[in-house]
Amino acid sequence: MSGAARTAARRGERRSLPALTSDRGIALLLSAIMAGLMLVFLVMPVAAILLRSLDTQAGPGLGNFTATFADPRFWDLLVNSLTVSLLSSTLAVGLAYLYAYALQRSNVPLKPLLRIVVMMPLFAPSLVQAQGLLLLLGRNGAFNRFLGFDLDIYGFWGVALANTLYTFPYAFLILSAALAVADARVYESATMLGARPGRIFRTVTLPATRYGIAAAVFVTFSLSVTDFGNAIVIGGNFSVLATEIYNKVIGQGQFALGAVIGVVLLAPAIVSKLLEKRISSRQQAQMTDKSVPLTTRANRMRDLVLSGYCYAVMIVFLAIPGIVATASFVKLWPYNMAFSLKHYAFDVQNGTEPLWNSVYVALATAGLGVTIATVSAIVVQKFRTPLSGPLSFLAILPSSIPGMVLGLGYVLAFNNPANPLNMMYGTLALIIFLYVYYNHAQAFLIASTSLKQISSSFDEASTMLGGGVVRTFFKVTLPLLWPTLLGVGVFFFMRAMVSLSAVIFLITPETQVAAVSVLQLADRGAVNQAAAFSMCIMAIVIACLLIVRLVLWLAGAKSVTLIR
Amino acid sequence: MDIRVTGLTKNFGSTTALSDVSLDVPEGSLTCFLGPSGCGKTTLLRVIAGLEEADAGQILLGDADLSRTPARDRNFGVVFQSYSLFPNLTAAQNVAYGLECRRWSKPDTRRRVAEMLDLVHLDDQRDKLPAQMSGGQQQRIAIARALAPHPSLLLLDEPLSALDAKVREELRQEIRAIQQRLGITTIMVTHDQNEALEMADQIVVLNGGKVEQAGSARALYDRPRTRFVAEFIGSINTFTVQDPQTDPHLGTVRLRTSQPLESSTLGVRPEAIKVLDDGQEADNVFAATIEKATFLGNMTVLHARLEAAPDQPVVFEAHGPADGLEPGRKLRLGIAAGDLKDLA
Repeated sequence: MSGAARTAARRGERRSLPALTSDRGIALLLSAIMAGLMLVFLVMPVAAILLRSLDTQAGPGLGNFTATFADPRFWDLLVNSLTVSLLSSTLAVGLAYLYAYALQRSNVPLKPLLRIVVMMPLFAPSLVQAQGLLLLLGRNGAFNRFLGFDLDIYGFWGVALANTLYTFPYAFLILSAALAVADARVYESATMLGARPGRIFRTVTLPATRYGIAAAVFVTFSLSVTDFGNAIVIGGNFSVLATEIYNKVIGQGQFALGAVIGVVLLAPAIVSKLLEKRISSRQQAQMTDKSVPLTTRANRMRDLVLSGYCYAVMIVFLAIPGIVATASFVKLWPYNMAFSLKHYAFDVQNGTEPLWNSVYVALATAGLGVTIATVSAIVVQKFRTPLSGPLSFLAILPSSIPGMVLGLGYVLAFNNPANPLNMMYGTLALIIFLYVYYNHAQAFLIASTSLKQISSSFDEASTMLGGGVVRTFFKVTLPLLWPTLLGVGVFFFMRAMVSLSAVIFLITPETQVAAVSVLQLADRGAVNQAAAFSMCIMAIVIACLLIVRLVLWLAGAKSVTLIR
Repeated sequence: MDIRVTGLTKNFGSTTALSDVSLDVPEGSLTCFLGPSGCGKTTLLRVIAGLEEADAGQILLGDADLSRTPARDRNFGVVFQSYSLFPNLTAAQNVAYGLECRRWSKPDTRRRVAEMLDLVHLDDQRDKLPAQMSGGQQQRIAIARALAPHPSLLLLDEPLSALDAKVREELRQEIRAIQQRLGITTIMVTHDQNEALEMADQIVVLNGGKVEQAGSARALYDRPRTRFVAEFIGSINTFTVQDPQTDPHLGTVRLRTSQPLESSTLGVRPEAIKVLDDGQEADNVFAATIEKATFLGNMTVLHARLEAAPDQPVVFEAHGPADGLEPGRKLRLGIAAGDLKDLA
């Protein structure tokens, strides 16, 4: 080396000032914080449920379980829950499959519209389905009042129908993804071998999507089993396990018995989650780089039939928010149908406060949720600390815990003077943490997947150039990841705006949120105000989606999925 | 500064990636790690870089032991196989990255970035994002980025393997020219023997996590110690010799060698086998029959069968069209004693 180069080399070697926090230190600190938060806001509540269910007056034991199982009413409720969920799951998956097939494999017109309309249930609390069905088919519904029908929707069929509508978009999203990829060569081979369309569907299409079907069945089934809003609004005298927890805890203050049913509700959710995992791990990649994407050929007859089906489904999905909107704008449904805005004055209860509470909670959930999910994903994916293994397990644990059960766990854990965090009880902060951890699994998986797609050679290149983990994150990872993270934020925001069952036990008059207001208004017969509240929730969610879509569009990130 | 590696061992679970690897990289030289995929060459590079931790062994830069120094403090420049330019930063920002990590002043950084872009002839691309540049341009920016902070060692991990043939050819020469101009100690990993032969001062042939042989291209070609090295660098005929230490002979022909043989495997480069005219003699002479002639333009590759050892086929070359060397033709082949290579 020449003299000049040597001096320069020495300058290059000048290490940055002794780092206050080494990379290793940061990794351990962040891992510990994430693990601590998960212990407090996830493990502790679940443990509280389990412990409480074993807590009898005679000391710890299985007394609560034996008492519950000895009660014939419990078995009736279990049968109710299972049959109604099985039916709505079958219906939702069957209908959604045909709908997704039409959108992915035929030339029905106005596909973007068809796609967005069936997403409507995701933009509103689950009980809006029941609300809308009652306004259509209920005692005072449009069909009975104005069209001269005599229908009785309360009970089994009402709950089944409401849950079918509520879970349809979840099934549609899964099946649509399963039907989106197909290798044209297989279809061409089948045609050349003389297979008719019916046989091709049976032997090619259906087998290729069977994992998607299984996943959709599990997801819709566990959503139905654990849903509480629809059953309580439209169930009438028909009770299910989810409504029973509500009655036991809120009505009778029997926390231990509520906890027992909570544990029982955990079972189907966990079983279907395990099965889903097992099945999806067997699903091998159907597309290779040699695959030829399937293009849809013209077929007038098929398109006509499927268009008819799709538009019929679309009308149903428009009718629900449509009738709720109508009810919110008339003086007194169904007696005085004159136009009025008075229900939007919200001169009942706490006025608009629950709505603003919800917006505040949803924004805070989005911010905190994105941060926590991203940091957890980084800790698990990028840092190799002793905590990475346990964290990756805990991170996806919430996906098998029904919201209602987790919510009950929060009450049991935090409404306990012995808990140092007892002061959080009755605050919006606790609700925010509940929403964050209730939705943690999905957000964590999205963030992890995106992190994995960012080549590890960027991290290594940064390290070799002398960059620490913090610099790498802010200079490289975050600029590449932010559109996805914004999508995760929208996901948290939407779920926090519409989730009902998770927070139902944590609500106090000061921490009322909008979804619970809808329930309470509907419960006491204030149909029109409940409808107006639902409309406001939907409007806020849709406005959020539009704003974020615009931001992403302006930033040139067009391929980010917002609705999940 | 020179790099000395002693006794490096690295296991991934139950598979051994490196076993007791020792080598020297002289100051200012370009050393190639050459070997088939899975031989441990990339692992060795990554251990030297600090991206992997060795289970045992030492890495010395000059007199300083680097084994415990974290990668970010080693001040080594690395160019990766896939384009690892930060996709969200322009060419100039990529080059400036390492300088910012070292808190260079703004004017110094600007000057150095301009100098580096000039070095790789891409001053006009400074504001382009990686996606707007060709593969060759991206790799040149990656080299500029690695060199900008005056690294004490440059590590190249198959830097050319993702490029197409013509660009690869250009960059080989450019990398070598830059390396020699700056006099920077450089290690390059490659599986391409031509790349190694063309660029390296020293080639380290790795096989199964062990150093098979290290030396200049010429030394490895002329004096391969093992059959693996002989076959990996260039092509070679291998013969099994009877009684190598006492009375070496190939089939029925007694062998004359320049040195006593140790092993029973003998290698002969195709170009060392000469077709003898009538009356011409050589140290070792074999009667043979041509079995196949493959015309390749500038030369003809000939497959023949030795009468002395019909079960051991031999391949040699004739320059030009090799008129008259058709299959079935009988001829005499000569091999000089010094061209018989004793392979372990």
